Amino acid sequence: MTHLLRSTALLALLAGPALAQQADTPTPPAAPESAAPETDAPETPPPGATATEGGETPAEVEEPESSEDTASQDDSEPEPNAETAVVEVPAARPSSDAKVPSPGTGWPSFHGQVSGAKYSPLTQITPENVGDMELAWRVETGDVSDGSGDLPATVWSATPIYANDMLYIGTPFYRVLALDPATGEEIWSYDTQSTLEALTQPALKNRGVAYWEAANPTEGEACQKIVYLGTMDARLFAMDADTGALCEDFADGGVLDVNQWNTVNDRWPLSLLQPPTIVGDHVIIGWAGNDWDWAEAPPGSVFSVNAQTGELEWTFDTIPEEIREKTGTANVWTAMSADEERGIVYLPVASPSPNYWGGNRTEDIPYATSTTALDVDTGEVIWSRQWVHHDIWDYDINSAPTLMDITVNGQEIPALMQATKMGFLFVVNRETGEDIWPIEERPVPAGTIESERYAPTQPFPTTPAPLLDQSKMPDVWNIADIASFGECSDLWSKLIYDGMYTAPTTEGEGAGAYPNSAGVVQWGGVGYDPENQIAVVNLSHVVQYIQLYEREEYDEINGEAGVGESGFHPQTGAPYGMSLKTAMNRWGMPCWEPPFGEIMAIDMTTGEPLWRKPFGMSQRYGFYMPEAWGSPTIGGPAITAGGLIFIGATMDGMVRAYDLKSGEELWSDLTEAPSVSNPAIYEHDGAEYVAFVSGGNSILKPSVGDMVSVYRLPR
Amino acid sequence: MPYRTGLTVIMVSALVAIGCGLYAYFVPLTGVTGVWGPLAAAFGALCLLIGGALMVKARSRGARVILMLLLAIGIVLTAFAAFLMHQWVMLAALGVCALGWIAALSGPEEGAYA
Repeated sequence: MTHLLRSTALLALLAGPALAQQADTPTPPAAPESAAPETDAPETPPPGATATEGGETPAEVEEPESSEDTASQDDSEPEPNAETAVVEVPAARPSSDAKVPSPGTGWPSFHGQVSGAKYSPLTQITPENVGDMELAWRVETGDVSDGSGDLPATVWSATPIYANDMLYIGTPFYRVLALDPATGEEIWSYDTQSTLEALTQPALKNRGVAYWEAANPTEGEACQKIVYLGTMDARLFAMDADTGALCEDFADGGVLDVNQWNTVNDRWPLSLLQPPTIVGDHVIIGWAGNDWDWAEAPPGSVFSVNAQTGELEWTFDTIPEEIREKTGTANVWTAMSADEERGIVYLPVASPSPNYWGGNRTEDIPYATSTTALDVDTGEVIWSRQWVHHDIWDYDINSAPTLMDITVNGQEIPALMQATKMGFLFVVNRETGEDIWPIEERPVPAGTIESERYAPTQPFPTTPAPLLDQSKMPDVWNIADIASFGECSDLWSKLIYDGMYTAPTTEGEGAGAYPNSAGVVQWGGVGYDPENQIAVVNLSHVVQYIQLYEREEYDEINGEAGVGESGFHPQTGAPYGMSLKTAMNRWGMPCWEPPFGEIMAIDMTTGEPLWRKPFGMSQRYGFYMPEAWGSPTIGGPAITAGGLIFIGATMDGMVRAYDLKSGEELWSDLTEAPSVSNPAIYEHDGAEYVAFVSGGNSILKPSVGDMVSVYRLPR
Repeated sequence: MPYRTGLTVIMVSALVAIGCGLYAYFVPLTGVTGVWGPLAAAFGALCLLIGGALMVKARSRGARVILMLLLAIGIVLTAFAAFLMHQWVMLAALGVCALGWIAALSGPEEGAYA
């Protein structure tokens, strides 16, 4: 299979989120010596305290009774279970003193709203006139590298922020640009002078900036509106949104060293690649790391700091204290969402380290691979649902949950939809975490690694239906099989696969990983139109396979360090190294049948699909494949009240508009690289704009970009 | 005369196709900028140009038949590549090239090379 290893990219497709997210491991730098965290926040309850005893059982925290009930209904028809959603509701709290600007006509946060809806109430651009939409302006930031020179490659997934009558963007060279929203002209810029080394990732990555403004600003004082940017080396910069000057009152002269709290297994810094989540006066900080290469890793703590002072308010630890020394991560590396009215922040929590073997963490880690709801003022757990028990597949929860009010069986329910790498859409009551439609615990196969502990069951949602069939691998694609003289069918015959939770193994060619580790749904998450109660999601079909190697064997074949492109990772400290490969033939053609990517809309009153279709075109060496084959996707949608979906996300570098109701493609334009972030939609001086950032991602193809393209109707 | 005209059309359209391939490779926002697909297509068009030139010089019927076959294969493959890259001007140029090839089927006039 060396040819597979050599095959560079087609989709390097698929290196995996981890390749994108973590991966490649040059020698990690020693983290700076740091002081113990100072916090006067209330102690969070010990993470394991509410977990089920015994280790073998699924570890759901504060699992509602109704979930247990539904777990026994394996064979029952999925039915809306509105009753379970009608529970005692915590009293709504007054908003905090400050606010994140409401959705309105701007786009003041990563997903437009902190609810994660990616929704704009603007109606100027409609299905009838979107075909007339034209380029308003285009800017290339210059902050781009394809990795061929001195700098690592860039991966730019920033969604611009529209607030304060400016458009703010962070770049992968860790600069902030404030642009005129109508012309793209630079108003100010700030260069953090951050190191441009790939300290924890294989690339220089950035997903943009966050914005805060005081509810009651002090006239004439600076930093009543602040833009925040994080860096690869774990510094959070706070800048005055009007001028770009550092906010001197924030932390240490405008710079917060988050790495000061990195005190356990601190073999790398806590890279701040995703902008923090702003809820009221709280700046809530998650981080990315590198858990492919090490068994022991920094524990996945989340920090809340005061928006104006940078003072630590609370810390939430996802790993039980007693096992913190021997595992790590279960971090929050993607966007969070929040219900500001209820004062709840929702954390999408990743898997623990190392990713593909868990013999060092056989104890329950209830918050790992979960959605966890915290009181935003105290960091105390309100509820938590674990979506993968004892995760040994790197099925990180990789996108912000989407908050939505839905009407099921005539009852209005405050809901939360959590999309996952597995292709499940879990829908629960966001106040309590209880099922809205039943989520069932179903038996899953155990593996053969003696030191491992295998969870006997995993949660499966019943409605909406899984986005793809995870019970079997896709069929071999005859075209790829014939072109490679049977290589694909040969591979299929050697893979071990008994459904999506087939455990990583040393046997055969390894275990089929379908859905793959990059994820069916990625960090773009699910969009939601609250008027029509329609959710929109794009998804990928990709087959990978995971093989474990006993330490001695691994060291023989790959030595100490992982090699990102080939997907080898040592899991140092574990008895097994591993490889994760994409199932492609010698020509780089996917071995599995198309479609490779789709987009769909779901009626959230019933959980049923409204429409579904292949999405985008796959492309290799410049050759476009038929649209019916679709494209793997990274990036997500934005939705307007005008009835449109705007989205990039595909390999072909196109940005598109779809009719929300019918799924018909109505408009498209070409950009310089895949637009792997969600678009931003805003109104400025009476005109509606749609902004796409085309930065590319090596998971899709090698093309990188530094282009911001903004569209509007002709004046 | 149609024979020489056909060869001329083949060579001129091949030149246009080469230009299209290089343009697609070097100019931003063609959808295929910087990847080797358009270079491969440009190379295919270059082969057509060379094939057309060799046809002008070909004396024996056997050589002309072989070259015509190779040109046909080259036109089809290069056009398919242009189609897959959505390079419509290049595809049109190769369509014209195919017309030139059809014209060249008439063969040289009797005693043209005597």
